[in-house]
Amino acid sequence: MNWKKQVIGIVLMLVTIAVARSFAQTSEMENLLHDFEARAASGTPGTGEEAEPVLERFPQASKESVAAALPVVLNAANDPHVSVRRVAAMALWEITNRPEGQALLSTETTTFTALLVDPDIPIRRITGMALDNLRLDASSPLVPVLESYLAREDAVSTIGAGVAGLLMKAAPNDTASTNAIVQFMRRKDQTSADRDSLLISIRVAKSPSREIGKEVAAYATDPDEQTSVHAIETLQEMGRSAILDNQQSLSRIAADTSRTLGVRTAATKALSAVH
Amino acid sequence: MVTVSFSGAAFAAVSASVTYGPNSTPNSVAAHIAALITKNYYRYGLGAKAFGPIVVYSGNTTLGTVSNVITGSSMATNGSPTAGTEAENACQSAPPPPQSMYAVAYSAYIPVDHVYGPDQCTYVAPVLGDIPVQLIYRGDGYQNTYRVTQAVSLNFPASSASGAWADTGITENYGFGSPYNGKSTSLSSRDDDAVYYDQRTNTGTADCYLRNAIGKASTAGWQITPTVTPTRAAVTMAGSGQNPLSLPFGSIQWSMITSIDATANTGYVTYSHTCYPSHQVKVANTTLYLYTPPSSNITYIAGCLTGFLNHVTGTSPTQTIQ
Repeated sequence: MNWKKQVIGIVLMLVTIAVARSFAQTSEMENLLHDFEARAASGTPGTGEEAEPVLERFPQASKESVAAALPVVLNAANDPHVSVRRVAAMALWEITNRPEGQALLSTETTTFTALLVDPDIPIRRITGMALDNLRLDASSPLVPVLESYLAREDAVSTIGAGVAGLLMKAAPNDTASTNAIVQFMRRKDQTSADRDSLLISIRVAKSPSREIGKEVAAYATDPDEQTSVHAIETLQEMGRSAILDNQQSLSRIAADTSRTLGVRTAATKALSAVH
Repeated sequence: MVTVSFSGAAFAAVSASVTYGPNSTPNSVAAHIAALITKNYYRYGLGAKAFGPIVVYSGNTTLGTVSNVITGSSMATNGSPTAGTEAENACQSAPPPPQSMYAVAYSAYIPVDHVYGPDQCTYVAPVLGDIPVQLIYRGDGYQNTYRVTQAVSLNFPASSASGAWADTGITENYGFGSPYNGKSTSLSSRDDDAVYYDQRTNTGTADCYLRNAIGKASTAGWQITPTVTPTRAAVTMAGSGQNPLSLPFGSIQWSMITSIDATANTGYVTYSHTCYPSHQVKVANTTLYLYTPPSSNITYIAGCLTGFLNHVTGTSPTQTIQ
């Protein structure tokens, strides 16, 4: 009997320690945010490097303690100081990595909308990763927010390519979303590297859109060889109809001796895949 | 056949031979030599990496002179004179000083077996249904692979540079059940199941179970700008490398300026790069710059690649090139 009591005692002690440790991680996060708020207000903002160790431990917190800390994190996401918002954005992304992340955060549209257009670009990138984890669908109130992001003047130079990918994943058949992406792809401020990023998004999202396919075909004439080849490969990945829709332009590229061998070969390969 | 040997005392017994034929290319010969050297001699402190047609050797002690001897029937008789000549040149393009040519090579690599990536897949489990799984990405630790690399050969007497090379490594991610041998173990051949999506060939299906997908990033927008005089050189290598299997919200970024004084036989690197992964600049057999990240935790990686954590910047000490 005595040994049973001892075992129960040890188990209770271990559970208490585990719970205490899990709550320690969230109170550590709350303390960090309060500390960053105070430091930012006094003109000596904290750095990402200082916050990182606490952020590395935060994923170990229990489901209950994360839920308890969420109001503090959401409040910090609206803080006027960028150093505080950065930590909050990272913490929110970490929560989206959790199995219960979607349930906890899918209704926080206002917070994510604000973070997505934050003046600080790292915050936008982190928020983009968080939204990807939330697996938005066509009915999400964030879809129009993503569409309007693509019309921003700074969309190309910031996270527009990633946002286009989020839209393609969330609303692959939505006319307004597709139109926003097409307009974004046509923008004159797209560089070869920007186009390349956009092609990554199209491939990752596995977009089936024929309208987007037409714009991808236009990217095949990019002056950068890598981007041209990437565009042709993307078209091939989009499927038979994407190739057939753009057969003429691919045939032109395949026969154009002013194009590099790599580009012509990619075009020939894409055409032969559908014949 | 090309046989590689070293004059350094510790590696005097090393001899690696690669046979090549009509279908060989300088790149394939260089890759075979690098793979063979690393496979057979890594545990003795000798490694090699091929950057296109260039092989860069690294040793835990002095390598001495690298010799490449070609034996067997001449390339003229087997119909591949270019491959033979270029293979010889390739093997000699990372010579010991004081010679007139140097290979400058940059690479960024994940210094561990695997890391957790920023993205998730959904594994459909029997009975339990959808399970979100944080994807694991294969690293470069102990693999002699890289995420991104650039290289160029410098010829001081001719004040020229040649053989500019840029490449990315294969990106592989893994879903539910990996690592197969347990959470704290390395990925093994058992993780490499047959069902996965290959973005390079547009075949297969990403099933979120063990090996999930394979892709290869682009080198679009990268720059190699060498400026060479008979006595000095400055090589700027810059670019951005993105994960081809996830949405582009972060990237490896680098801008490395390698300065070489061919008269004094010294060099240094002015660097600016993301704090993940490892970044390295080698000139001939000398590692002029090596950065190893303090952590491979998912939060640290995401912080580095999104700009939440600062870039690492500075100038390396001037070193003698060996």
